[in-house]
Amino acid sequence: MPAKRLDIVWIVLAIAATVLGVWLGVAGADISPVFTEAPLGAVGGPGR
Amino acid sequence: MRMQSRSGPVVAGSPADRDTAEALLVVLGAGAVFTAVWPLLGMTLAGGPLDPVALVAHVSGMLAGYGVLIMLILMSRWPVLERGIGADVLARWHAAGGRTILGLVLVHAVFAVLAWSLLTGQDPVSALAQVLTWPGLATATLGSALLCAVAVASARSARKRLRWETWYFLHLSTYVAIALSFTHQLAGPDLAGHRWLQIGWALLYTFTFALVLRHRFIAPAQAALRHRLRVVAVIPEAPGVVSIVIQGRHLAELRATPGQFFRWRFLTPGSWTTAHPFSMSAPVVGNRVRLTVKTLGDGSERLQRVPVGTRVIAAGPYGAMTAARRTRRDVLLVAGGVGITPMRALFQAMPITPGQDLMLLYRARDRDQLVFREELDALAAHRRARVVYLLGSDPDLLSARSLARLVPGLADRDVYLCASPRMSAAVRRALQQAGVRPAQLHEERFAL
Repeated sequence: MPAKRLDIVWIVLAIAATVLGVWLGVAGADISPVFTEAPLGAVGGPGR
Repeated sequence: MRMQSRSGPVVAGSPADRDTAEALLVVLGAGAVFTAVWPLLGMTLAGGPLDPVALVAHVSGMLAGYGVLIMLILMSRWPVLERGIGADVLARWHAAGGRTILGLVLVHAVFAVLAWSLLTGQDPVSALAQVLTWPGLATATLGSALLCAVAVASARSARKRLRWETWYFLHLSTYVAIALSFTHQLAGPDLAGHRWLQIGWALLYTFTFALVLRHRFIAPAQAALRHRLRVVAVIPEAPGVVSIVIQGRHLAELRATPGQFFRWRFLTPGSWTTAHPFSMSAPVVGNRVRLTVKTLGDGSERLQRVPVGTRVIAAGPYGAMTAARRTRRDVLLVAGGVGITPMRALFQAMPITPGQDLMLLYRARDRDQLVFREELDALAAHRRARVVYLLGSDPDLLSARSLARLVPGLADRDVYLCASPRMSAAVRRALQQAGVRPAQLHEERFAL
């Protein structure tokens, strides 16, 4: 493929990766109450 | 940083490629430092005394999660890294990094359970049972077990017993292991409660997988449609060695440079599942490219009989062992066995002006094992270059004294080397003793 051509495929992938990444990150916050109730370093939390 | 014209052509292995790759490595390194420091920062900000056992658990866990990303990036076939660093170096980093990450995962698991056991006053088995009920921990444990299985299969002794194809498919299961551990990473105490960090971490993973998808899967598919490669000739060169000539369309667009290689996937019933890296053994001419294959395993053995007309998918070009790496006036090429393939292409294409000297040392067990003898002799005569055949197994053939006697001005040459690991190590030692600095040595290591 010509090297300097705008990489449409990469742009589509980047948009998909951004949407999926944000969704997963937000979902991660939803699935981790057990830690957010007692976060790292807090008394009784997993880090202590 | 070296200055480079933005409008000039980017040549594989050029200083611009190396600068870009090095800048990327600096960014990735800075990310690793942040990842390692973050748990300490989190604990400090939370107040209270530091728990060293927990700290080890968290730092090792965070680094393992980040390290997995680095391993994926190294193997993503990203042209920036492939051209700037070289596929063989990336593969060695990947192998060493994989072992390190497995160690980090195990340290993380042991210290996390120990820390929880000490904190709650439970015995370690009860602590483990409780830990496994936390979000994502059971699947992460499965993922870790899968990683261990891959590591065992990748150990040198196991690799010798396994077919390459079997090992390769087993190795691909690391993608599953990574997916299984992802929930634990997001839900883990280092990221929990920090929504923006969780989103950032997830974005790192999704962009890394996008990179892998782009360069490992979509790019070869695009190239297949664009270039429509087919085998047009299979030429026996020596016992167990054939050259395969492949023809396609628009090959100039690939900008393949002598010294580089492609990962070739031959679409026959026995070969289509795996892509094998082989160097070009001659520069691209028109719409034809040639590779030369020696029987080293099942895949390369099948290629000795690949039918003319077979469709081929080529990913690449990859590799940084090109003329762009040259820093000196005179050049020495050193080839061992089938390592002659990229050297044959470089011997034909290495730019030489009057007053410069190009020399090829080609080591083989005996005369029958020599490949391209007539071509090399013809090229030497045509280019006013020299080729020396070193036959036999006498280790002194490649000693510093022998090389200095054969090669005038050895210490002031660029040296390109492609040989078996054993021969490469011997040549490397000899060159060092002869005064060749590491920056003058450009090599590509291939496995036997």
